[in-house]
Amino acid sequence: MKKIEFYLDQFQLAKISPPIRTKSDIMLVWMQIAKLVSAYFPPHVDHVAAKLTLIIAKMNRVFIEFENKTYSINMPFSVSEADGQIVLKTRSGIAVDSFVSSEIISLIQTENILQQEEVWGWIESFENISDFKAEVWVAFRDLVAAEDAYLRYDHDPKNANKHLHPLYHLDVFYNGGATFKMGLENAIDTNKLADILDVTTDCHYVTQAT
Amino acid sequence: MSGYFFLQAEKNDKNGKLLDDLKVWSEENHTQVYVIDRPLGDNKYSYSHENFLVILVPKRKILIVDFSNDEDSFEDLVDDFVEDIGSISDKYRYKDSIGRPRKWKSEIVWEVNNGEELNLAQFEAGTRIEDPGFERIAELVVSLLIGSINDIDRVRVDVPQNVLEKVKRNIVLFDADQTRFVYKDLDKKNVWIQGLSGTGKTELLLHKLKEIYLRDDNSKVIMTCHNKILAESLRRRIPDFFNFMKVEKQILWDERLWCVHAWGSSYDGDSGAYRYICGFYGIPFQRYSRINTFEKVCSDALIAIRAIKDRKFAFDFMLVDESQDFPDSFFELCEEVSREKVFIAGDIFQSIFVDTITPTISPDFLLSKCYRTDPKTLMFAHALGMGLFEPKKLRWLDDDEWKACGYLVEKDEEEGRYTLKREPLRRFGDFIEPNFPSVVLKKTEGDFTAEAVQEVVNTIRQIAVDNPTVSPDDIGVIFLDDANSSYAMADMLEQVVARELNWLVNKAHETKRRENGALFVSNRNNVKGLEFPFVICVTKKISDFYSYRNALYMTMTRSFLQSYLVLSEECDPDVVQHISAGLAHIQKNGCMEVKKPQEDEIKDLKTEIKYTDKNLSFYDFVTEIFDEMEILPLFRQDLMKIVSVTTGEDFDRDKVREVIYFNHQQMKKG
Repeated sequence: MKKIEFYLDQFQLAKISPPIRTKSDIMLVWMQIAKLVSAYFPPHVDHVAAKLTLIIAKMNRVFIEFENKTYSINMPFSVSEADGQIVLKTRSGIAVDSFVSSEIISLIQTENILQQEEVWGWIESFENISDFKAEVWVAFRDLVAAEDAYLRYDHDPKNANKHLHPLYHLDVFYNGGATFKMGLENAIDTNKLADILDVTTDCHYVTQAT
Repeated sequence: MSGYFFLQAEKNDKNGKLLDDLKVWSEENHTQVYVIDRPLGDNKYSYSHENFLVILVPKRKILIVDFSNDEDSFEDLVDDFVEDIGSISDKYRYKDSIGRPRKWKSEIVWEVNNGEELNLAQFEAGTRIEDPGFERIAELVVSLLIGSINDIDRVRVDVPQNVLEKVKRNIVLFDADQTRFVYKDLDKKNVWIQGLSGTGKTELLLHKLKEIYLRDDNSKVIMTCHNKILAESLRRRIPDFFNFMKVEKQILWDERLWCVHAWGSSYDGDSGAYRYICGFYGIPFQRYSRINTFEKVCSDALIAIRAIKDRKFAFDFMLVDESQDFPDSFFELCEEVSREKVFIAGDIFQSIFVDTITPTISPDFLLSKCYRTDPKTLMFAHALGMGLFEPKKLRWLDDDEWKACGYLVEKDEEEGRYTLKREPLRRFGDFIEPNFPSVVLKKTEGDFTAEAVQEVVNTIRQIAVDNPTVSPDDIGVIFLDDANSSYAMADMLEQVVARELNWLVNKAHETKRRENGALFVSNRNNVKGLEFPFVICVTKKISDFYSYRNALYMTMTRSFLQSYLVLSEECDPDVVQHISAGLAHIQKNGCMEVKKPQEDEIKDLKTEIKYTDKNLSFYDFVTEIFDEMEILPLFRQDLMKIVSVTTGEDFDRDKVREVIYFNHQQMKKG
């Protein structure tokens, strides 16, 4: 198992912790994480506001821990290191370097490609980004097809409401129609959360609230 | 025609002497002089009094001079004229700032009864203003009278106190050439205007657009350029510009006015100039492909349209920006489909590596004064782009071409030495000390990526110390190296800038726009049309590729005040030394001293440039070479990747052929 940790300041955190409501949000977070890990500038210890943990094993996930929350999503990339630099590659083997990630951010944020209604508009969006390259399309396609597997561990005393909104809980999925909570009896840390999600360790069981 | 003297009044026996003297005076002093007999930019003002002139010189008193000897009538004229200034100043919301005419009339208006006796010495003495506050009001009034309207909220009336404020709140005035373009009609259909970037072409097209849009309520007008993103930004500018110019008519988009790129999409009839023309005449619309170049589709359209009997005109006026991006067939097409006129603006030097700078069609208006960039910065940028300071130059211009680009050429034929300089511009002379370093080299040692990022942050800090009123969007950081390393540096810079300066960063290669309050960061593909008080260019090593050199030149000219160049000292110490010495010479002497290459060298340079076609995309460029080398389609995709990575996407034909050849051999073996 490969486990790589990055400490982040508030500015770095802000890039990867937007409210997540759609697949576009997830794709943007993936791209921002790719940027962070491949061009990482560690903050001064006094300014650490969050921690990002990349776990690459049978399970490929990233955990982002800040305040009382940890959220985790699938990382649909292979991860390798070359010359001290971390390289993320999509399923089709496209390296998501700073160039590819910027182009994809541009497609989603500037071109609004996922809101395009015209098929020609979709194609034009690719033409509009600075230099049309086949690899950007392939990487983009891989990301659209990838599962995000979002979940969030929350410790939320303010809104806690018995079994409807347990003090410690997991929010699974982000879409209004699909999301649900799973209560936890106690607080857990990222290691524990990773353990729950790790298919190579013992499973955890769901029981009815009593 | 003079670049400093503009005359829109009748010249006659009585005023002729004064006008001739003023013309010479304007040239000698490099100072704009406008002679008018009514406010420009609005046709509603006219006067019954005859034989008088209004002489406008920025920062001097407005001189109203009579040649009629009818004193009573002249008194009335002066009152009427001043009243009209008041009403124009009200229209453009200047009045709240500069006040009513009675507050400034006695300070900035000078009436002279007997014009025939006025000489230059009296003119100079009589129009002088001592108080800087009234000097500024006078300049604002001049801008109103020539229709070169400034945003009063931006320029404000109080006198700016520091250099950055002076630059940001500079009052823009059309020069004589620009004024002629906007207000004088030429008796020909296609009107060409050319000039270096920064000479204000697009702004002038907008003024022209306003003029023609207001002239006739039923006219159809289209403004277009080749690039879609530029066209979109132009389209966004039009309503702002019209509001600002207090145009009371509504913009009837896609009915009377279009602003779109030149090609367009099949699914939207109003999406492009060519697309609209196809729809209007009912001829087939063709999409881009390797054989369907824009040149070809325009030629096809021309043939089809000429075959139509009793055809109508698609537009009354067309305005074309960035004409250097277009084939000639497009201009023929424009001429064919417009009833009145086609105004075509372009940059002769958009690429310093175009074959012919002296254009085949000589322009009707040539703007040679660049108001954006300090002449010293422009010189240095040209020298960098063309390799003028280096032992092997990449580009040499003929004497005529130097002149067309605004240079004064002095040469020592025997020695082959050239002294090239540009006329100083008043705009800069006004507030920049002669020894102000408008270009600064920042050399780094060690790991370039980390050091350069830190150097950029240090430079920003220094700018902020020197200019306390600087805001993040006053600075543009442009990374010039190949795609990935530039993008990676931008990603790092974003983290450091946020942390150390608490500034927002706008990575424009992602957002494709400017954002208020954020540091602008981008790569060399997104430089066109930008300008900042400060520009910081970052490049590890000055490479010899044309596309790179051209980008370097373009980027360095994007500043009003200062351009910084951050580069590695160790990568190519010789080149760094040469350009440092060249820069020092420019800063000390205000000119470049360069040695003309040998004739055979010049010939080689020209051939090389001709051979490299800058209009192709890299993909098309490599595909053409694949075709030449008869590479099977099977291998092309992989080879394309290898070529792209190995050459860093530079259009070096020999290098690309070599890379293809070597890898192709390996692939065939494999």
